[in-house]
Amino acid sequence: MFSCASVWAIVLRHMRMWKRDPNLLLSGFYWPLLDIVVWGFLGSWIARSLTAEFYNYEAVALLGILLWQVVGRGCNTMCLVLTEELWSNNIMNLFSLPVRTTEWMCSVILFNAIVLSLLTTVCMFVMFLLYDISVWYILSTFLIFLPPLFISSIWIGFTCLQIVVTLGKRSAELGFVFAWFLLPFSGAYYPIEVLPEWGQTISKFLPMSYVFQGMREYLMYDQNPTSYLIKGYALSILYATCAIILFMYCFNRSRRKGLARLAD
Amino acid sequence: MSVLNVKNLTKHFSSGIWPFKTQHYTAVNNISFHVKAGEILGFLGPNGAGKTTTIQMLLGTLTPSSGSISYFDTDFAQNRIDILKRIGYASGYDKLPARLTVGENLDVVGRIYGITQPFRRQKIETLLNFFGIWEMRNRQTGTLSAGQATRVMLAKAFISDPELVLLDEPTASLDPNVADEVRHFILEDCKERGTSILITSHNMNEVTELCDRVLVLKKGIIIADSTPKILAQSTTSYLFINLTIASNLDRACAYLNGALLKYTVQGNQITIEIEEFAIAQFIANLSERNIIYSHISIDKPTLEDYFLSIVSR
Repeated sequence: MFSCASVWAIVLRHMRMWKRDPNLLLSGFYWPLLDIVVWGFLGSWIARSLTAEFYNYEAVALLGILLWQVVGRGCNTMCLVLTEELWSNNIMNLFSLPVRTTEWMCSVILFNAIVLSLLTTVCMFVMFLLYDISVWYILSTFLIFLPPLFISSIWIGFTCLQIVVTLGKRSAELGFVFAWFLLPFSGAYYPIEVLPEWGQTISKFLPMSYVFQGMREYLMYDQNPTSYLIKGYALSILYATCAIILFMYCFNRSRRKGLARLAD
Repeated sequence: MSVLNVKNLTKHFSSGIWPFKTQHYTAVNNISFHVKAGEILGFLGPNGAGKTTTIQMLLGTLTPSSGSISYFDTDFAQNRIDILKRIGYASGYDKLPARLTVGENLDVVGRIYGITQPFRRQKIETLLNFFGIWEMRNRQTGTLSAGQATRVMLAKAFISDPELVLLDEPTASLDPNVADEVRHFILEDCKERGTSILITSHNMNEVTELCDRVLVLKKGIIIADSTPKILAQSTTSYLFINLTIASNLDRACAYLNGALLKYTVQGNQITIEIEEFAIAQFIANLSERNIIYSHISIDKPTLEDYFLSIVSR
């Protein structure tokens, strides 16, 4: 039977680790906050300096950054949950305990959700302090576009975990950069129309590009984003399902070679 | 009743990338054994014999190529989680998360085993007190010495009151007195609760002291399955008598030559190879010939002698 206690125990293990590790806190919160500061002020400047078309660009830039953190940081957090077990040589201990693969996967998703909740709360607080922008406006818009991006963080996260669980801890860096490789094609900071044609073709396959496109239409032109959101949801759910199934396959395949070798 | 039954367990490792894979190494080759309830089974073998590979398969972190593993008459492949709830594991080679305190690490493990409060707290306190590390409960595990960390691992292995414990070199980094306490704990736990233990160790005295039975693995094959005493005796049927001769060393040598006994001389010390049944007559003969000795000791062949003989074979 599925054990919620096991899921929570693994989440607790990682929360306790974050609490004690200033490096994790720094890398988890410093870069997103720096993005908020740099891109937020750039957005303010563009909104004030350019045509009426950019009147709401500050909010667009800030929300783009915030929503991208859900994907990028979310994926990194998920990747870190496994690589931390490998770095601390705990992989044999963990999987010799009565923990199902599905329980471990749920704990990864839950921990990701907790870290993202904290991160976005802190980021919103900083936005409130630094910019002349309504927190409720940002929060309500954020919540509309959050779910498909959170699901995207799950499929990208499990794709990265497939790499780590297949190649071991030496491939961890590859897992960490994978999400950021998708950033240019996601249209988080600019419309995908500015990309070359081949880049736009890649974007069409990414659910994030529809969500960010919908966000821009909604904030800059007051358009209904539903059609974009539906495409975003459909693609992200499809990819997440495939990524989870593939991860379970890779994990079982890795068991055939031995989980202990992943820490070598 | 067998708590663990292993039949024809085999593990091949292959190298290369599909479709050019070549099977080139058999780590464990068709081994079968069992562990009875309350039994302490030693798992011996030189490095690379397949001990750790077997333990990984017994824990489900490595899938066997063929063969079957069943615990408590239940197939492990089909009921992995239910069986792991009844098993403990500790290895001298693994570590617990370094940033978490000792108490936090054991708390996480206790939660995964489904131990609820206040029993979890009581169990952690009892085990940490037993292993003499209660004062370290709030210290980060990464700051502990190797010996202290090993004791935490042992506390982890016994936290769920398991019916079977797999121990991979558990006392490798412990001081002799702590290692002795650990052995004492294992024996007590085995006697009081009937816990079965499967232990790998390179400490032959430890295996002799602890184990009811020993399996010897070499190049992935079980080459012996017996008690430590019988294995030690299988090396040679001779004993070694060490004599410190007080007077008449020449006469002693002449007697040994005449009796066709193998011996070595170092100063006034003679070591004689002799069969056990002949010892009494040998000592009587020394007295008859007025050969005076100031010290006598008898060395029996040990498990270590056996181990060294199979490694060099």
